[in-house]
Amino acid sequence: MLRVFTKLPFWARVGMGFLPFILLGWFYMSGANDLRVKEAQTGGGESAASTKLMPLPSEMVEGFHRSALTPDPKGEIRLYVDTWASLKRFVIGITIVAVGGVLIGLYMGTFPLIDAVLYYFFVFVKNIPPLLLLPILFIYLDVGELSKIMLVVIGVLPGVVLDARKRALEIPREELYKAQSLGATDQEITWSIIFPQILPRMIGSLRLNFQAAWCYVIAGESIAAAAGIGYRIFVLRRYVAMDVIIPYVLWATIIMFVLEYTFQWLETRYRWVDK
Amino acid sequence: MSESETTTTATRHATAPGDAQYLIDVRDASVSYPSENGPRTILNNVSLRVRQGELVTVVGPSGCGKSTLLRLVAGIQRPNQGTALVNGHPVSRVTRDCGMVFQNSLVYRHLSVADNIGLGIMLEKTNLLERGATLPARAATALVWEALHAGRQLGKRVGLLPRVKLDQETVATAPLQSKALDFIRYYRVRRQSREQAYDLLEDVGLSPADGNKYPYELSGGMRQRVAIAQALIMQPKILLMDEAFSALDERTREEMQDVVWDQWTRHGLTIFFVTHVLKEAAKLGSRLICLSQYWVDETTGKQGKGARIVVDRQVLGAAQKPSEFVNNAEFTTLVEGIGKGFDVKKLQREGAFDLSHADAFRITSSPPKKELT
Repeated sequence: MLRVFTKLPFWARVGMGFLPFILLGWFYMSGANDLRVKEAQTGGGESAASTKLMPLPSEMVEGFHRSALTPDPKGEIRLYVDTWASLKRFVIGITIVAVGGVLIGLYMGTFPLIDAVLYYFFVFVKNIPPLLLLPILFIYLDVGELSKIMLVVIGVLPGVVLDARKRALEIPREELYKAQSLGATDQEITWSIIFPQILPRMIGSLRLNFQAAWCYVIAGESIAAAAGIGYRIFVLRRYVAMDVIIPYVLWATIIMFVLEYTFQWLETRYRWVDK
Repeated sequence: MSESETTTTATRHATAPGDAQYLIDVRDASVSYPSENGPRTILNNVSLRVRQGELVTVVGPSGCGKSTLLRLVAGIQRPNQGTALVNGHPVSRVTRDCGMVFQNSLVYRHLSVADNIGLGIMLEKTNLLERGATLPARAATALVWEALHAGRQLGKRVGLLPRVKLDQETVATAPLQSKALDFIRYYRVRRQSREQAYDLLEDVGLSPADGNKYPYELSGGMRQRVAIAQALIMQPKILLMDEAFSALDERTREEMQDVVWDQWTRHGLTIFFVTHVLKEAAKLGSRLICLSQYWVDETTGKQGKGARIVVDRQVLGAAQKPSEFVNNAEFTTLVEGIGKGFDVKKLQREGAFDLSHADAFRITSSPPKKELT
């Protein structure tokens, strides 16, 4: 029962994990069914329009196939074009954040002089709401790819920098003195002692920032883009095409889910962490 | 006076050059830290000389400045006044002269046991570029360089890239080749360092099977053995041990004391061993130093600030055997007194011992297990 130390078998954990999904599906299907019953009773009118708000799974499959998987007049498959466009922005942004953020944070946590110069700057930048910078970015960098990538970078980088700094500072100074006594230079201490130890933590930090980065990509696309998952959803919103919007949202979620689990798996590769 | 010298007089050794016969020479060193109530003096005019081959144990209550004294010798801490010399040279930074073993088994958790022990050799033999990245990064770099090189060659073959003169091409590709060679050399050095590490494993009581394990797979005692081996592989002039066994249980602690004793007798190391356990200090050291905040200022007659060396005794002379020790009741009283609260001031006042006494002593409850050979 509901006890602190209850141990559940694997099948029970997996089975219970599906429960919220089943409940959500049941609520949705009940709502969709009610709308259709109402439509049948009234003979269309407003109810006919409202059924579009809650399409049935079969309608979603059909709508998604028609809109996203069938080549458009230009001969392009929209799902592929949109996914590629969004992922490209996301991956470039996150790569800049990963390399730049970890590097800056690592050096801040290792060298007090660099920390003294940059710490308050990054604390300040971290507190700027990134979405408020979007209009400024569009003005300075135009509405092209750069502004959307920069939104991801500005939104996520300060947090990663400060996290890397904190992780580097958490390493006992005695370990660094010891490395020095073994003949290590400052750079060697940075890259051979501190960096390998903060790396697993930084993979975790990046993973936790995926959600924010993905949000910034979608937000940027929703305002100005020619392709992308966010762009497509906001275009389809005008036509209340829920039969395509919901599958698109699910698709965006699945992409994040796969990335999240890939990085979680990467973290488990470092067995010595937390031991 | 014993060979070892302790003094609280401020003027002594003030400007004398480093004496080569002393491996460690701390002269009138004072250390203070800023605190809310003004500067807090940790060490007050401490002077200490240690000859090569001594096993000096420094004992005292928590917070009396033992670790600060060790940090002075290590070059981690600089004195506010006075100097610290190692091998005749002023200590300004951490160097390879001093190997270090700290509390809590500070071994690098991302490296295997063999890599931990061989780290110093790796650092010594490889260059900065090779060491400047982790293994995957090194592998990736080498692969990228090789792929670029192969791409260039292929591009030239099929005519996509212009062919350049031989000398220019040699210049252009030289860094690529050296990167690949560095990568190979890194593995060679790593193999060598691991071989040396494996040679040392049994010396510190570990089995070769432990070499591939990671620190999290080892017990506290085993991790501390790794830490000792890691320091020993570099053959330091001085081995500094700061509360190295305080996190271990009694039995493991005794085993580790044997390891240290064994290394000292076999290799003639100079060891500076800081502990708060008096029994351990008396048992292990060839010379016992007691630091205490309890001392009386000679000029004012008041309680002094900061710690000073109040006891410095030769426990085991280099030529002596345990059986030749004097079973001295006075020293036993001192040890018991220090053990109860390190209140040396009170003991002094009561006339329980005379600090000028300089005979060799022995702790009756825990004689050294092994004889010097």
